[in-house]
This record gives sequence, structure tokens and C-alpha cells, in this order.
Amino acid sequence: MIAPVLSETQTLLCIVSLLLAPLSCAGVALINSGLGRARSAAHTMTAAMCVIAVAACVYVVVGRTIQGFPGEPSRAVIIGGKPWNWIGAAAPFFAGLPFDGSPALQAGWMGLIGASLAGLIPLGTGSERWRLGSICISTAALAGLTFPLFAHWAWGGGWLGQLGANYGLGMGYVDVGGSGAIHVVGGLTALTLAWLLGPRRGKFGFDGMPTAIPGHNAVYILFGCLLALAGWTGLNAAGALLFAGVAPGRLALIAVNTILGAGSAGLGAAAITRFRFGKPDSSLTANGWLGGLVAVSATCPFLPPAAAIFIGLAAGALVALCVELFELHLDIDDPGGSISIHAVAGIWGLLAGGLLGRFPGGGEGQLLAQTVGVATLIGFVLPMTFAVNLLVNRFAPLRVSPDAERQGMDLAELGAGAYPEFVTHTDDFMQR
Amino acid sequence: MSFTIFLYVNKKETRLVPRKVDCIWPDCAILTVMAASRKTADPLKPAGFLLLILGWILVLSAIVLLKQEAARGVFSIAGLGVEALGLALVVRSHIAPKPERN
Repeated sequence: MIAPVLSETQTLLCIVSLLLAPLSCAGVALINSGLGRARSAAHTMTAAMCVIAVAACVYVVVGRTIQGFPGEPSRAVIIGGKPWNWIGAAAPFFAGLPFDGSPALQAGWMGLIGASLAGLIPLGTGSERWRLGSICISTAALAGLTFPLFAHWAWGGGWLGQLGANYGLGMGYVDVGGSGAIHVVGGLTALTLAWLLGPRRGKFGFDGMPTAIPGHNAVYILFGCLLALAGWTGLNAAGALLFAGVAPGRLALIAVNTILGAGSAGLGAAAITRFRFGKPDSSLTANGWLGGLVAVSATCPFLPPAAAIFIGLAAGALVALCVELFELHLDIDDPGGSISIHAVAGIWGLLAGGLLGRFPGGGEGQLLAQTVGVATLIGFVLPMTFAVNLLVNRFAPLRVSPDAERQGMDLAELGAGAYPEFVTHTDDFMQR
Repeated sequence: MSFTIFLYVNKKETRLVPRKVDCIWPDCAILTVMAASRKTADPLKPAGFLLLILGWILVLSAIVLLKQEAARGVFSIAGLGVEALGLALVVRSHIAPKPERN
């Protein structure tokens, strides 16, 4: 496959966009911390830093090799007379890449941020009971294998991206902002961890009904949403330039669609919670906002603004309803709402984008290409990430001891609390 | 001649419990291990994961083997349906029975 070429303007815009992108990691880390209890706040933020550090190092050593870029060495098998490019074979440590702003280098940069962001997603689900050492090992597996493998298929010249050229399915699987490669991969990993970790102590009472455990800082959550908006705009713009080759003028539409998706999703979630509970819920509205960002990321350069509003509204409503469904009926304890935000909204965004997007060349077969991508995420990535984390759990147990959980992760794992001068309610340390 | 084997049974999926079993014949030991694993393993979970993978293969086969877009679409939706069934089984296998919670 021929490597894409960027003009000077595209290269400059891509660099500026990628400089904004780490704000998405900061936003997600703040949201995860705010949605947890005060006694685990420092642990959640420390874990976020560890996740970014481990993901960056492992991605540079192994992940980038697997992800690759169109035009770089890769492995392919021939099925039905067509090449199925399934894994990259680039050199580790970014070796061989010219440090001149080439598309391959910038794709590696975006992959590094994507691996970090994907690693932060399960933290929201596993907060308050996931051991720090196991977090690092699980993140290494995600950044070194699961994420780059799917990223190669979607972005690195792999078989999903080539469905258009090989089988006439539109432009092939389109996922410029990483709805599938980053968010659904991270969200499905979060789901497997929710299964393996089990619920927090006291989350479900003896009658089986879930207990509300509110987050400790709504301002962190809402400020995290605003930071995420800036970061997501950068990620979407960079991905559109690198993986769809859009013209620089199209970036305005990408920014507009990103804001519209987030805003309408926030409104959708607020409306749903207002209707169901009498007042809009701030944490679910924030979850909806993030779900909207995830949903529009996949096809934002090709969506008319009206479609972005519709996709966002539906994503917000879907996230608010799924948070309740998972907790009440499926016994899944997900303090950060990561599964609903990233997996459910991501899958919705991939499918809705394929249906409502206006793609170059008419987009015939685009929905089918997106469907194949979603089927791959559920049918391949979910079993794979479950197996990987099951293996991690066997050698490095994921969950802390009941005593550590009762004491709080800050004191148990770090030795000091996030807010030492706060008066802690005695019932916070009681076994529920 | 007798064989002594130690079975590690995952009790309530929370801790490993060693259990000593004396067997006279080697095949008796094998059968005991098989019976114990059959007793403790949840068949829903592996069946669910198997269906997830089979659904994905069905979608890929539709793309490779079929030429008409309508047929590809129908088989892809069928594949997604198989995956949904698998996901339902896996989710069901992780829901704790009500009295065993906490």
C-alpha cells in the first residue's frame, strides 16, 4: 500500500492538533478521579500517571511495531485472492522514522496518545479496588498488543481499512478519531475488568439492590469534560488529516461537529435524567457529554452538522440509560461509567456514522464496512482482552485485599490520603 | 498402588481451596479431575465466547464469499446476532446469584 503524503499546511495543522490531544487524557483522568470516593482520589490520579507512562514506553517499544503505517513493512495472508494485512512489522523504538514531521511519525505520535487514552478508560471502571501493580501490567498488555493490533487494522494499512479497495465497501472501515481503535477497545477492556474485579464492597446490598456511591468532586468531573473537548478536537483533527487525508479547510467542520456531538449528548443525558429523576444529574450529564465526543469521533469529517447533533443526542440518552442498565440489571459496578461511555457510545458512533455520513465516492457499502469493524471489536477484541486480563489476574491478582478496600486505596497503596486535612466521616470506613 | 492428587477448586470464584483425593488407578485420577472441573466450570462463559468468535467469522465469511451487497448485509446482521447471543451468555454467566452477593 502507498504511504499517504501531507502538504506543508496539513503537516503543520496536524502537529498543532496533536499538541492539543493530550488534554483528552487529562480530562479523562480528572473525570475518573472525581467520580471515585475521596479516600481513593490520589490513587486514581497516580494510577492515571502510571498508565500514561507505561502505555507510552510499551507503545514505543512494541506497540508502534505492530501498528505500523501504510507503506511500511507488514505481514499479510491471501484469502480469496485478496491480501489480508493483519499485523505491522515496523522497527521498534520509532527506528527508521525520519523526524521531519512525516505522516508515519505523526501517526506514531497519535498512536502513543491513543494507547495512553485507551489505558485510562478501564481505570474508571476499576477504581477503588484495582491494584496499582496490576494496573501497570494490564496497561502494558493493552498498549503493547490489543490496541496496536486493532489500530493496525484500522489505521496502519490493515485489512479493515482496505475493505473498500479489496471488497468495494465504501472507503473501507472509517475511524478517524479512534471511536473504535481507542474507545471501544478501552471500553471492552473495562468491561472484562469489571467482570474479573467484581463490584466494590458494599455496592450491592444483601437484597441485591445497588447502593449509590456518589463521586467526591463534581467540579473535577465537569472541568474534565471541558478539557476533554479540547483534546478530542485535536485528536479528531489529527486523525482526519492522517487517516482520511482531508483538506485543511475541513478542520472547521470537524471542530463544529465535535462540539455539537458533545453538547447535544450532554443535553440528551440531562433531559433523560431530568425526566427520570426530576432533576438533571451532573455526573450522568458529564458521562453523556463524553459519550457524545466518543460517538462523533469516528466519522466527524464526513458528518453534516445535523447528523452530528442526532448522533450526539442519541449517544447521551444511550449512555444515561446504559449506566442504569449495567448497574441495576447486569450487576456491573462501573464507577466511571467507562463501559457505557466508551464501548456503547463508540459502537453507536461507528454504526450511525456509516449510516448518516456523506463520504467521498457516494459511500456505497460504508455501513457494511463499519458493521465489520464493530463485529471485529465484539467478536475478536472482547475475547482477546478477556483472555489477556484473565492471564494477568492469574499471575498478578487484580483486586486489593478487603482490608485495603475498606481502608481506602490512598492509605493502603500509597500510604497517604489526597485530602489529609479533611474530616472523614466515620461511616466511610465501616464495612457496608 | 494408589495415587494422591490435589484438586484446586475455585470456590465461589473468590479463593482456591486444596482438596485431597485418593485414587487407585491413574484413569480414576483423570476422571476425578474431569468431574471436578466439570462441576466447577460455568459452561455459559466458554459457550458465550465461542459464539462471539463464531459470529465474527460469519461476518468475515460473508464479506469474502458473497458478492451481492444485500446477501452480505443479511449474513453480516446474522453474524452480529450470533455475537449478541454470545455476549448475552457471557454477561449472564457473570451475574451473581442473589443470595451469594457480598
